[in-house]
Amino acid sequence: MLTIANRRFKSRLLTGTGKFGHHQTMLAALKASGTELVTLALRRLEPGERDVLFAPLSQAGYQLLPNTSGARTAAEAVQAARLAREAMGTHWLKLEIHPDPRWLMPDPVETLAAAEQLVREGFVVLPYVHADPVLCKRLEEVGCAAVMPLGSPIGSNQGLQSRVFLQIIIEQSQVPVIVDAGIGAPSDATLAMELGADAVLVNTAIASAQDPVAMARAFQDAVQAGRQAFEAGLAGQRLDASASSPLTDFLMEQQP
Amino acid sequence: MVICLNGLTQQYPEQGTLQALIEQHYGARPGMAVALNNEVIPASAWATTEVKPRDRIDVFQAVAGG
Repeated sequence: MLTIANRRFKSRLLTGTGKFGHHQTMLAALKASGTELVTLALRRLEPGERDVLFAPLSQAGYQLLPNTSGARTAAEAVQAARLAREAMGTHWLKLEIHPDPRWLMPDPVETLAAAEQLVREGFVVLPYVHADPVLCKRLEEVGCAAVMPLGSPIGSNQGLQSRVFLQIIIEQSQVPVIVDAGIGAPSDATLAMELGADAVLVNTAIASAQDPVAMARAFQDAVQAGRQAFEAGLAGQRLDASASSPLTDFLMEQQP
Repeated sequence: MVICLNGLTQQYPEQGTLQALIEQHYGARPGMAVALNNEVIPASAWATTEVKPRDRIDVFQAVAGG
């Protein structure tokens, strides 16, 4: 079981709620994915706007994970966190600070400063960061409940480009490691889990698939397969061949 | 009096509460947060918070995101 801040989850697949064509598709995909933890964002409310998201998600019992997307500095992220806590009634938070909309690269300096402050304010902080083993350790030390290193840029579907650094993070982390961003296919999710990640967060690859509900199911299976493989202990790699069948010379023996 | 609501200048009657202002513009709905001059005001305090001239009120809601 995945445990974050003393809360246990059966599913190791976290899902985002963005980019779905319709909110009903989103709800169906979340259900098909088996996820128990979903991310949300915060935006200014327009007069007359209906809520089609918050109420259905809370009623369905998901642990909500508001993000601070749009924040460019630690101060903005702290304010967004306080608003999100009030709006969504949870002190869980995906801390993300990316000042440049082209690359959406997380700002490590602002993220660490905001994480320290938010942990002091009682938030369960899950920071989205580059796959930087040193930064992940620092975030763990200031009390983050998990770390969320990226596989590749947000929404790029490029998979685990940061693989070697993810392995270092996983090897030394004392808090759950959730690979976030860039997971483009179920095979990427399986690989992350085989490497020993505690969970993955997937949004674009499900929401932008031709059939988001079927893709959500595929990701659920992929995450389970990867986790099972990790727990079973993968056999090591080697350069030279190693026969799986007995190498006898019986063919030679049959010749007259 | 003049207030600033979500970045737009608005006329609002004297001695109105935050609660009345929110209901007038957005109705009763879940998943909202309100900041008054950058300070987050819990929903439980809206009814007792009076809106003053030149107050800046920002209203947010939960939306889809990754």
